[in-house]
Amino acid sequence: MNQIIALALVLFAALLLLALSLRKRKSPAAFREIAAFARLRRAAGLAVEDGTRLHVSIGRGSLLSPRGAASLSALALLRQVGEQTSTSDRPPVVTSGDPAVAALSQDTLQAAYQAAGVAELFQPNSGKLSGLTPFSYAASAMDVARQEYVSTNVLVGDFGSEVALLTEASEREHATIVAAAADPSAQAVLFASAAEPLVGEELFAAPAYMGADPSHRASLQAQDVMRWLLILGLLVAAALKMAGAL
Amino acid sequence: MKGKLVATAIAIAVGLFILVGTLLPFQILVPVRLELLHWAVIISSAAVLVGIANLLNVHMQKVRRREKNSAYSAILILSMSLTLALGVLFGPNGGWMQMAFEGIIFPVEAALMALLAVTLIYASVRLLRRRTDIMSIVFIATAALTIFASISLPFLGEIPIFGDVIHPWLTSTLAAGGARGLLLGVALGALTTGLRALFAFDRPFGGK
Amino acid sequence: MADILCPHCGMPNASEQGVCSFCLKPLSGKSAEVYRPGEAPTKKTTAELESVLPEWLREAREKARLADAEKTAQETQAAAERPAPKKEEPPDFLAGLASLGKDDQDDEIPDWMKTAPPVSAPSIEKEKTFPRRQEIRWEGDGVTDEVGGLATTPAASENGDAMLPWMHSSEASSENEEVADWLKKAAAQEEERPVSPFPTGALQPPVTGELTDWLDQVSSESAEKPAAQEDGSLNDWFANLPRGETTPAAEETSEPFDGGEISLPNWMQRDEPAAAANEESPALPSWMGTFEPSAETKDESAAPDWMTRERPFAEPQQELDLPAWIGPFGETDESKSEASTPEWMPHTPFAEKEETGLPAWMDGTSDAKSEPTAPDWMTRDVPFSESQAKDESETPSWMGAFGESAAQTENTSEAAPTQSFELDSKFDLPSWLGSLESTEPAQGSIEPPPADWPAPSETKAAPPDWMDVFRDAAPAAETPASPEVPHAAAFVPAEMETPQDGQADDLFSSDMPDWLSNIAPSELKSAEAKEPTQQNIAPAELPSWVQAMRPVETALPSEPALTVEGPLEDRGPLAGLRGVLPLAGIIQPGKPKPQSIRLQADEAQQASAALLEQMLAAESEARPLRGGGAIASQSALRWAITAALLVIVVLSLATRLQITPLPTSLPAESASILPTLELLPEGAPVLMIFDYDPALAGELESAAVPLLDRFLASRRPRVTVLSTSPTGPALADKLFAHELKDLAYQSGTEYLNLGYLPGNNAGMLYFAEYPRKAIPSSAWDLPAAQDVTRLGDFAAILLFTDQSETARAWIEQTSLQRAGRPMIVIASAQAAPMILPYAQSGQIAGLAGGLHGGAIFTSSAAESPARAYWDAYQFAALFAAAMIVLGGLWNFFAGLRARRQGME
Repeated sequence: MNQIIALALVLFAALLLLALSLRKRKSPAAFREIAAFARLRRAAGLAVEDGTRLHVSIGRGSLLSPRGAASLSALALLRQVGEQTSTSDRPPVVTSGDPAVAALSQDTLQAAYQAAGVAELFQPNSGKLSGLTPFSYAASAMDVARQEYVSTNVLVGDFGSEVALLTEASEREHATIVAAAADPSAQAVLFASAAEPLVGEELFAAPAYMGADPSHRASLQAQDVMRWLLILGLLVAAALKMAGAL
Repeated sequence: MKGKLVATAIAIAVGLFILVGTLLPFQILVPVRLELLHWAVIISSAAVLVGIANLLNVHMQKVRRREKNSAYSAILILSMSLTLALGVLFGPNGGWMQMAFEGIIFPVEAALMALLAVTLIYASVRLLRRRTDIMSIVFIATAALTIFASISLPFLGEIPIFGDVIHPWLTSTLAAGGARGLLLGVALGALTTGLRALFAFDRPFGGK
Repeated sequence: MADILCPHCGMPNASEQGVCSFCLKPLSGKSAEVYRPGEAPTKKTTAELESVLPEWLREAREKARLADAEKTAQETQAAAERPAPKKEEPPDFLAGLASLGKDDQDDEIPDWMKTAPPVSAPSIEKEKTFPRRQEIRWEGDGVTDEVGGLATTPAASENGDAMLPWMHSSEASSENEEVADWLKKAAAQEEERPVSPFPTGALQPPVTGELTDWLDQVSSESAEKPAAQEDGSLNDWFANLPRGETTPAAEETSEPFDGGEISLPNWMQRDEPAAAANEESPALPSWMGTFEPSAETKDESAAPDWMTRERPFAEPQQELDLPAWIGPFGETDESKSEASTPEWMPHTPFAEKEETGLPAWMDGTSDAKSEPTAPDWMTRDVPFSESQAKDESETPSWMGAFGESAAQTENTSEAAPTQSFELDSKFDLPSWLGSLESTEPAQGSIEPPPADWPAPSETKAAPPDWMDVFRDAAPAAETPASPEVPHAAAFVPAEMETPQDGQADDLFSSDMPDWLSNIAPSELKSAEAKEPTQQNIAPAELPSWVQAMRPVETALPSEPALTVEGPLEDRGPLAGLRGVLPLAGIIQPGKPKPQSIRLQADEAQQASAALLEQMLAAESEARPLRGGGAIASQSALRWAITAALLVIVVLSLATRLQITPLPTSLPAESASILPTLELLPEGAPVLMIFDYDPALAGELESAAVPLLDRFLASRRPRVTVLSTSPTGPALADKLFAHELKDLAYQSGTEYLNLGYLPGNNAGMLYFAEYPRKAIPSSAWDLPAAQDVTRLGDFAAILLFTDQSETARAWIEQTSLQRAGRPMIVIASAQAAPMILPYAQSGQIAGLAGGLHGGAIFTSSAAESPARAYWDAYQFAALFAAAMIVLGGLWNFFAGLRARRQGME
């Protein structure tokens, strides 16, 4: 039963995603304004202007775990940010807590540089594995955040409560923080430490808000559709349960 | 260009196999799925080695360029090398490895966790200074309430009402319900993200 | 209507004319060239025009050639004997005249010009273009000097005078003597010389090679007067005129111009022996040498005819060594009967005084008629006024081209001829003469001679035509009508309008004007006579491309010429000019009035400026940094919190304080844990998964030890340890080695550590399917796990995790393969709420969360980490809660106050 429900949900999501991606809209989709992404866009531009660096930390989520989705979303965001800041005097630096994600971050940066036409500026060591455990990863990322010329720390991905150490280090350096996590405990920590925290599935909206391709916007729309359907289903189920039908 | 196409084709094919094999009860797909999973495990293990090599390269470059805090990078390289040698010589479950773990790794991470406690307290104290809105007040109130509901006073034990009424309601109803909602949203996001990777809309591997 | 060019003289004539106005020859018969204004004139050599020259002119040219040759020989000999001082070579003003061929002379050339030495053809070719005044070269060392075919270098004539060859005339010997006499008289009046504006030589006269340069030579000539040549050759003064391209007058002057003395040219000097002056420094032309006093001893035949007769150039009878360009000046008997001054120079500022015997022009007298001895242009006040010249009919026709109104001739001595004339290129005239153009006549422009203009030989009593230019602009009624002569002012006053069409620059830039060959007197025209002069020239048909280039102004009705009105300025540097702004009223006497430099702005403007200044200052001011105060307070707070926690925890642990009671109520999710574990058989294989981080090891160990301590002690299961975290196996070993050491689990027999399981969820799934394949190890054969082949073979699964995701993954991935085996989750306090639904849904058997969960299973008497940490944990938590509440309130009100202050 569970498998059937899962299959139906997957098929519906796939069809919806394809349809929304391939549909040609007359006007671009309008999403609600999220202050954190606006700050991120501005920070990226300022980093290029004043020659500072962007530190993008994409967490410790493994691609083979459910947390891998957060890492994929973080990589998509890295692609956009890397393309925007590739021409900066100090290119962005990427830290991660998973070896596979670290390798993918290097590949993503290289693609961003190629898209920006400055492939020769790419440095492979821009994407690095900070640590294999969460706190070792956080400790190494704290060191990167405390380095000079880091104006903005972008903490998007799979984090735990150790993300508080990263935010603390950023606040000490008076750097801008843009953070989003999939784990609720990390979200709680970020809510207390970040200026504009991103809660819930706003992590997966990051690529769409940073100017990614239509598939990301279609993904957001699909999430909204399914969310409303799920809410409707929950309400209906709760009502039926209360009514004794279930 | 051809390599990118091959990588994309492999990613799509493997993803479909795993997904279909997981959702559809076709026995013929089970061994294929499991074998693919086995390959994934092996590749992830190899990725650990690649990550360690990358870590070593970064710190060696830092030492070579005599950058700031390059001394710590040198200590890291030495420690890594020594631990690797001990593990190879005496096994991962050997006494030396256990000593290194219990003497270095465990205390360090425990200290970081204690630091996290201070950080969280400080952040909570400064929250209303940084952002004064209703949600911040609710957050602070909820945190305080939860803590008060879970502690026991000296000589008195659990605080009445807080311990037996508020605390269960907070943890089981508010926190759990909220967490479920968050997890549902995250799950939906993960689903569409996975599908986007499955349909090759996102290709973090070499190239888009 | 197109003009018709005369085939003989090349002068333009109206198309309706049948006889040329200049040479009085029929226009028809030969191919009359139709001349259209604007077209480039066809260059012709002077030699080709020899046939159309008047007889008297031809004779003069011939004589000039001969005299030039003789003079050249003499000079060469003199130069060989002694080095001649460097002198300023006058421009070869008459170089073009040498091009005239001797054979081309006909009866029309006057006799005095017949003696002009022949001029070689190359030199003619060379001087086809009328040289500019600056380009005029006065070469006296063997180079052929030609101006319009007439030699300029005085050649030694048979009479021994220094006149130009063409100035020689056998019949004019007496006339030459008369001319020489008046020149001699003029030279005797050295003390009467006009004061030079260059007394001390500080202000050097301009040396531009113009006609006025001969005046410059006055200052530069030494006291030595050139000896008056007996032949009265004019070549000397021509030769002494400065060259056009060099301005060596200031440097090469051997003698600064003294205000007391003016060293006149030789021809103007009369006291010094002419012979000595001529030999040593031949400043004066040979023909001018007869003017000196010593010239009295000269052969009278040396004086050129034109100098003696009333109309020197009216008849070509006298054989004078005049330059060829002076050819059409005419020779008349009257000129012979005149006193020593030639009629062509009747009045000049340098008029000779009567009582001193100087020519009238050297006395500065203005009455032209009362000076029988001096030429008119020399004696009258306005030497080159047209009216005077017209009245007296003494000015030669060629000089008529230079004529202007009398009022504008005050500065003629300073000005230079600015009009240029473009004549037919038939004659190989000097460029300065050849550029004289009559197409756009201005005042005193060249006019074709009227039809009734008598031949030069016919006019006897009338003054030379070229003298017309020296006459005032008096009404024409006062003067007898004279034939139209193309005339141009040799000395154009400053008030004169700028000649149109670049006539001023073209004076010497074209060939000999046609009027030189056939000059007829013409009526003087005033400034308003432009139209009458233009009427003589039939309107031409302009080519279309010329019409397209015409300025817009030409399409407009022509406006009358601007006449300068206003009072005549009589003092200052602008003396003689009209329309000058009066000085009075502009220049205020005394100290200038001080002007305030303050900006006049009202209060509103000043307020706005102040506001703008504040805004700009605010932009440029550096914003103060956040300051160390804020950072210091943050660090102090952190240190305070840290210190407080340390004190609380350390004191609690150190004192083994146990005043806080343990929890007594058992949560529902934890109530089934012990019963579930109690139901397991003894020695059953149990899988323990250690998926937590070392950082949370303290919490989890404190939560797990009370439970494990009871379970392992009661059922003694075989433990198989697994971890999906690299540090998991080490944590397991640490737990069993330290916290559970009392249980003395034996590795390999009762305890098996499989190590790290890679692949996260995939590894979990794979392990759930194929445990032995997921972790291929020989340890599977140990007694601790020898009977385990699949996940369902384990009696129970204990999951120790600090992440809800890990628990969820293990729960979800192993739900099928567990085959109903119970799974118990011991989680950290942060993950417990997330895992609770699984416990409440029955997917797991039990859930214990954090230290509280461990404390539940701890009795008060037991020595467990939970008991040891309970008091410290409670005090620290209490402190944290208090800090959050109190600190939050503090910062809340502080933030409100700061925002209110910022808004204010």
